[in-house]
Amino acid sequence: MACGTEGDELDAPSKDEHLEPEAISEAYAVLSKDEKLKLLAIDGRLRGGTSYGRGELLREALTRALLGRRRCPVTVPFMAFMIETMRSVASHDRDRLKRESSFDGLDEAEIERGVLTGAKPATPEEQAMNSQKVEAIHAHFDGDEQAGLLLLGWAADMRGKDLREFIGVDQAELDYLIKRVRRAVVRLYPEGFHA
Amino acid sequence: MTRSKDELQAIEDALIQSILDASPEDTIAELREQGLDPDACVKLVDEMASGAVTAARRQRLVAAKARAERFKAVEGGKAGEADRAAARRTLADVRAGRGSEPMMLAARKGTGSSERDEESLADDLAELERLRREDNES
Repeated sequence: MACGTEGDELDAPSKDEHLEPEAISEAYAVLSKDEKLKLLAIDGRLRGGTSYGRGELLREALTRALLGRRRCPVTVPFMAFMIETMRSVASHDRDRLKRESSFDGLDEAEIERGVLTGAKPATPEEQAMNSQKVEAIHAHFDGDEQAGLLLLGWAADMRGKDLREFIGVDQAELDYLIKRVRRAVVRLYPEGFHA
Repeated sequence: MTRSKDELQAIEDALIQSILDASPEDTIAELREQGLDPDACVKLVDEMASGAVTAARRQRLVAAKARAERFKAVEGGKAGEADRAAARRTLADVRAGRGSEPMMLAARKGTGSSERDEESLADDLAELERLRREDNES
């Protein structure tokens, strides 16, 4: 779901390949109630570990789109663009918070020398925490073979037919399984995995 | 099994896709499970969107003002302090009779002109000098 570019990060494509700010406003205006609720639900999953409150990630993403700082290719659905922009905003904010906390342990001279100039990579502790989260999700479904297979399939980026065949279910059974697992994981990590 | 950050990310991606694929009834039911009122949620999203429009408008206005200031200072021909100082010296030379430009006696004496008039005259001279330089360059 790659879409949108952050200002001058990449070569700017021609204007007619992206939605103009007016078209962004129009795209938002025609969102259904269901789509708005889904955007807010996803905002809730992505904003964990950021400085944004409920709905604020969505607002920031829309502001950047309206200012043309994030540009939506005309070929990308607006919902997908918004989600990717929220994800990017959240990621940058987490990196910013990480950098700020990293400065706490440095003296003025180290900061002057630019010891920290970019996003800090995940520390071994953070990697261990991520592993623990995946283990905890699997442990939650211990003994539930289909749920375990679904998680393994998702972790391997499987979707649709591949996923159905991997688990050994039909589409209706897969839909029900996904709903069951989604609800359980949201209860386990209500603010996403970064909280 | 070694669990990587990518694996957690892949599960999150799949969860987000499943939220998008969920039926409207399931979406409402799941928000209620989290203690959220769907109508209040829609209202919040609309408020956030309204806030985004306001923030974007404000930032565009600030950017437009900055561009206008730059235009006035650089493109609009507003003379810099150095040019104005040079123009004041020229004016003083003319008044003292050292200038090469012919000038009426009353003007040389500066009779009736206020400090503001003189500043304005210095600005005009500086602007004239800038235009002369541009003519010579073109």
